[in-house]
Amino acid sequence: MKLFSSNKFGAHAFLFLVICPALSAAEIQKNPLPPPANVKIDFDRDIRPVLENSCVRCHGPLKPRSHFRLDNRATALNGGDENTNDIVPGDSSKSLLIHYVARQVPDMEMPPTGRGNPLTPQQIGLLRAWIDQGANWNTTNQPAQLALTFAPTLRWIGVQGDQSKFRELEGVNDGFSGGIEHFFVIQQTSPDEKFSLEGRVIAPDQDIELKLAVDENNLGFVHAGFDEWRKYYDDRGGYDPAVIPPEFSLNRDLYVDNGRIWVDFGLTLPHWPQVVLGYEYDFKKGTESTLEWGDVNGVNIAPATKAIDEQTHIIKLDVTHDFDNWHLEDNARVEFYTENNRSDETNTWLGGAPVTQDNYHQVQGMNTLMLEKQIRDWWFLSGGYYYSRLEGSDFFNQTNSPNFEGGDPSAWSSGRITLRRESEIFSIASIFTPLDYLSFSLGSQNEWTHEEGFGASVPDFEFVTNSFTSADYDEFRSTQNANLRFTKIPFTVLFADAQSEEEIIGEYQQEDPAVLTNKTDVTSDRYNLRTGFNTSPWRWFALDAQYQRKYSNTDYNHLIDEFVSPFGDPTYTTPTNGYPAFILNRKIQSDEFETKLTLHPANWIRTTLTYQITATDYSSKTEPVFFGLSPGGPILDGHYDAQTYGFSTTLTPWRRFYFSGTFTYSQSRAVTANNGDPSVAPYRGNIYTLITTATYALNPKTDLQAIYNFSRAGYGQNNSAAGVPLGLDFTRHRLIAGLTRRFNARVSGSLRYEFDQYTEPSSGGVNNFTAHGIFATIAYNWP
Amino acid sequence: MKVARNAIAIRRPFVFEHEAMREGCTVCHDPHGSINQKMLVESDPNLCLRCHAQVQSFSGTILIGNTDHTPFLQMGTCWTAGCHTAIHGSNVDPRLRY
Repeated sequence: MKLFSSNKFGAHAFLFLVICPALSAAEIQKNPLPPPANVKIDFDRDIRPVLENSCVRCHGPLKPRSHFRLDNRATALNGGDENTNDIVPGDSSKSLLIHYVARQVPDMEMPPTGRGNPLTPQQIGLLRAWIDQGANWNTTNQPAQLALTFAPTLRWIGVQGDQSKFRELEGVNDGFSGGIEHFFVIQQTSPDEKFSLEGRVIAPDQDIELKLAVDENNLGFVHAGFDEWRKYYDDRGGYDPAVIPPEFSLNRDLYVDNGRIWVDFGLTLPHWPQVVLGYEYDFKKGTESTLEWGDVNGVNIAPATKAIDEQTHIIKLDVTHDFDNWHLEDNARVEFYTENNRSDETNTWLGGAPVTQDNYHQVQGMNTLMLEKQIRDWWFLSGGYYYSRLEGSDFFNQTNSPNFEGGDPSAWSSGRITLRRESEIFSIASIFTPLDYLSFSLGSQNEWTHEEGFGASVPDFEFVTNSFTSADYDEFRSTQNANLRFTKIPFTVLFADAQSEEEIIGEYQQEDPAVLTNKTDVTSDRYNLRTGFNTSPWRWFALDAQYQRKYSNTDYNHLIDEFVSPFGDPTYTTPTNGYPAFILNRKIQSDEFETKLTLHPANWIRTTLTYQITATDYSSKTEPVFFGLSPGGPILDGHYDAQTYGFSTTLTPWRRFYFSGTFTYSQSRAVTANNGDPSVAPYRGNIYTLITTATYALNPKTDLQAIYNFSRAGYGQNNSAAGVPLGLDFTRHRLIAGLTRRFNARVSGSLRYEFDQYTEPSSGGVNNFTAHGIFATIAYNWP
Repeated sequence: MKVARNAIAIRRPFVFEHEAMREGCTVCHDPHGSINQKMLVESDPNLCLRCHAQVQSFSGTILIGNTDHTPFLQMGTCWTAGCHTAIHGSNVDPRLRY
């Protein structure tokens, strides 16, 4: 939730001075202003830091409050809304700005409470002297009219071992690559006009980022960009020493390119609503590894792929406006999303398992309206309304192999499957600060969602025919929030948060009336409590601690629950045995405690110790299963717990030397009700992580840098006798050594060597790799 | 940003939606990072069984939704063994297999 200050310099000032001029004079007489400083003002030295630290965040070029800007002299002297005497050159006593920052005008204190520290009498004295001396803006620190940075780079990486695993983990290709690490051009054509272009282009990794911005203050802007990045995937399946060969590879270079192109046109006329009209195109195209496993002679260890082709066109319109101390914001979006994905669950060893293709299209329109107002100094009010409607359609195709379920080798196609979703959200919240040391907030949000799906002709692989499918889903969710913050105890903040949520769902699913019919009412109650403190009684000591509990309880009332087997199995022909309708209740309870101790005994050392412990229980209640397969009743489905210890330190014992290091150790386990099945082993293990960085300034022109990272995970499951071995064991070392040299004021260069070693015993070593890399970059800066 | 954009495809509606989707992504994924593919909190059947277990009558077998899953669990994880591959939802199969 955002907090906006009110239009302090504008409408309030106008009303105050016109309606209550006597009161204004009385207030000023009762509280004399700090005297002007008796110095010759240097704007850059005396005034600029005050304005930049305390004023420009709200009264800068971007959406200035009350349209009052303090980033250049012309707009500062113009004043804010309906007000021109905020700064009166030559007479600080008549300048409203001085009375506001001296906190002499009720409801007009600047900076507002909670938005920055009050100015000191010395700072106010400097501002007075500056205005009395003519409010000159004689800066020697004007931004350059033209500035640019250009940094070409060249890389070489050599990999021994599993090159595709290296690409997956590192996100870069091996071999030679290069391009522009970073470039930046900015042209300040006038105090109000600016053009900038920045970005990065690295090939052949498709690592591209371009941003273009043209800004004209008090008129508008055009912002545009393009970015693209590539995600690589390992092409190997799982590893099982009991199979010959123990691992399979597709021998393909798998990757997906992700990117977007976008442009925003903004209108920022003074006293008018700010309007932004934008368009964005997102894309995702390539082939990813969907499964770590596939089917090879009944032991599933082969890799599989999914061809991805997803595109989204987004049109947006954003309007923001401040009026009469209200802040209004409206965001409208229309999204056109298309997905043409193809899953190959096959592998060359089987000669063709199911190939599934999904052609999906959806159009979604949504609008968010938000209103905010600082009703009183102690009361901030906000509210919002969201509406969304989605229309989608899908065509499903599948080509089966002779080995497919039921031995059916045919091709299957669905007719048009339609989907629809409609959502509304209404929220209201208030933040109260009745006392300087006490604040609390209350909020409520209510959501309604309706979804429906329908297909007149959908493949039913169990009945080996096309069937009728229908689903309806209605949800109402109500969430209440309360937060409390208490700062009366010196150097200490106490806080407590509470959230409760009630949810009611009605759902109906039908697949060819004789096959599956489910009608279920769901009710859920959830709460989330959090409390804690942070204290820092001495400059060298800080302690944070917090405890959190999350709880949810869900009841399922299955009004209709029927499923009929296509194979004549009597187990499936009796009502009340559909899936997943056998679950009657589910509870999840999670407790978490974390603490952080920060010690800063001297300027050259800072250390942090952290500890976190969490535990979660999952339990449920199920229906009995016929023929005595299950008596039903309550069961503890699973338990999860984890502890994490952390230690980090930053050392600067000498002026030229900097060191930082972080060590983290965590252990966790997830145990579920496996009923003695040895193929389901507890998921438990440890992770060690060490990250260190050291920098040494060899001389004023040369820096040396070294980075060493280490990580080890032990989650492998040695249960190959009972099933496919799962889990992951690995050890990784990464060392970087480099130097940066500043050749002159404009040119610098860096040279870096990287060593990366990865070993994975849980894959029998087939994923191991060792990599060496050389990275060279030259940077040119002007001026 | 990248996660949010890719999540568009996942958060689309389905005729048959995995109920876990209603409770949020963090039920199965750790957005802070994980050693497992897809940022999964666990990469084995424990991830599914913590919600899908039920009292069994015969030791050594695992019955899920009236179907004996014991031989399937020996062939890998529930979503990667070629079975419940449409883990976020399906428009054609209530058991989320396609």
